Amino acid sequence: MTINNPPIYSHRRTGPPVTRLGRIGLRVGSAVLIIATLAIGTAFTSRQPGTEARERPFTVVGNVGKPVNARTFDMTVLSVRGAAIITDTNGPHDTSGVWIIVRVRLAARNAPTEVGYAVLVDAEGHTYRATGRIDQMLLGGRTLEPDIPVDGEVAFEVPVSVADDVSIRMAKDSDDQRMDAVAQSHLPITSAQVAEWHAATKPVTVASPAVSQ
Amino acid sequence: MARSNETGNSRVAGGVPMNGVAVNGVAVNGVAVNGWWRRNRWPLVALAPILALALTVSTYDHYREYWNSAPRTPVTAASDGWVSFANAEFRLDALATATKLTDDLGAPVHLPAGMAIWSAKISFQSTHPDPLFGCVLMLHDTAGQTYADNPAELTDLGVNFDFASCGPDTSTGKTPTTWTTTAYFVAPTSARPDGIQVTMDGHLPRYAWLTAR
Repeated sequence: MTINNPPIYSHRRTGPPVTRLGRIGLRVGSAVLIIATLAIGTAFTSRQPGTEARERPFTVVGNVGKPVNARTFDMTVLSVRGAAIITDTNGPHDTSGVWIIVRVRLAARNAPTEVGYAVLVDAEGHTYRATGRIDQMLLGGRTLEPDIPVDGEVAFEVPVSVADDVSIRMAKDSDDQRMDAVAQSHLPITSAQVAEWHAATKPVTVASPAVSQ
Repeated sequence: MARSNETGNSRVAGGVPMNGVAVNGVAVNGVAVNGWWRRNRWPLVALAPILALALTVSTYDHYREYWNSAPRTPVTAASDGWVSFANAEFRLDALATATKLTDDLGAPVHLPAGMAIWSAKISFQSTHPDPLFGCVLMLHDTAGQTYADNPAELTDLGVNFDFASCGPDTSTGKTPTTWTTTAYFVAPTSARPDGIQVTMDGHLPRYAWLTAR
């Protein structure tokens, strides 16, 4: 009697058996593929910008006398002056550097806003915050209304050596400018002016903000 | 002739197709079907809607957070003119330019060119023991711009005015159930105010929209 067995389906590979050398080759090949995948991934990710770069602010550069859009407000640099001593109700404040006093016009764009961030940045990229030695009435706490421009001064204390090549930057948030607009203007300051301001002995008062006339 | 694969995933024995249709991309009976694709066809079909759902949920969460971060859904007045919002009811009794404000000495205030002062008289009623905590009043114009109450510009000009507040005067030790306040705003003379926007902590994106009757 003939028994017709059904065909046997197998998960095993057909052909000659894999030799020991062949098995080692397969494993090495797998390892090489894994390492190559990791290497490609690492190379790819290492060439991506870091968080600091990816979330950097959008710096909008404009000339002195022209409004610069900082998203929630416009900044216009009106003028700049300097001094060796500034004074307020607490008395005179001297410096081993020089005071740079920037007169700006600020106006909210569509809704009330504050301007909390003001720095000078030098040619090397170092930043100098608006001084905390006096009350800066224009910054942090002064609400600007849309299309009602306000003029005022902001004082910075910087080393004499960098004062002739600085730009002002202003933004809404005092601590976090990530992915926000920052307005920037280069200040027209000469070395001769810096020397003159550094040598001056007359105290200067920083002007309070007032509605632009 | 069909080939089985190395991993044994193909349901083929010795290159013979199980169902006589196709294996591993090799056409059998004129139909080409790859074994892996065929075996995973249903998970692959399910993958598309699952990915779409995952993206939708994630995107919707972020969108909802963004949507709830600003006043977008106005709550308008009923037929009696009162707007019921949060734990109180509001009514805008008058919205007009303020022309008779004086300084602390009673002298008329001279406004900078291009700036106007607006006043809004608002009535409130509530039986809540601590009504309207975190309430913010904003003047809104037809161009979509908003202006804050108690503006610093009025303080700069020395205007004698009472700071507006949504909440009632509780200095007597009792919380009244009805009260009124007059809020002052500054806006460009070109602005055309059309109402008052009242927002409350925890109620965004809803806000009370008050228009003069």
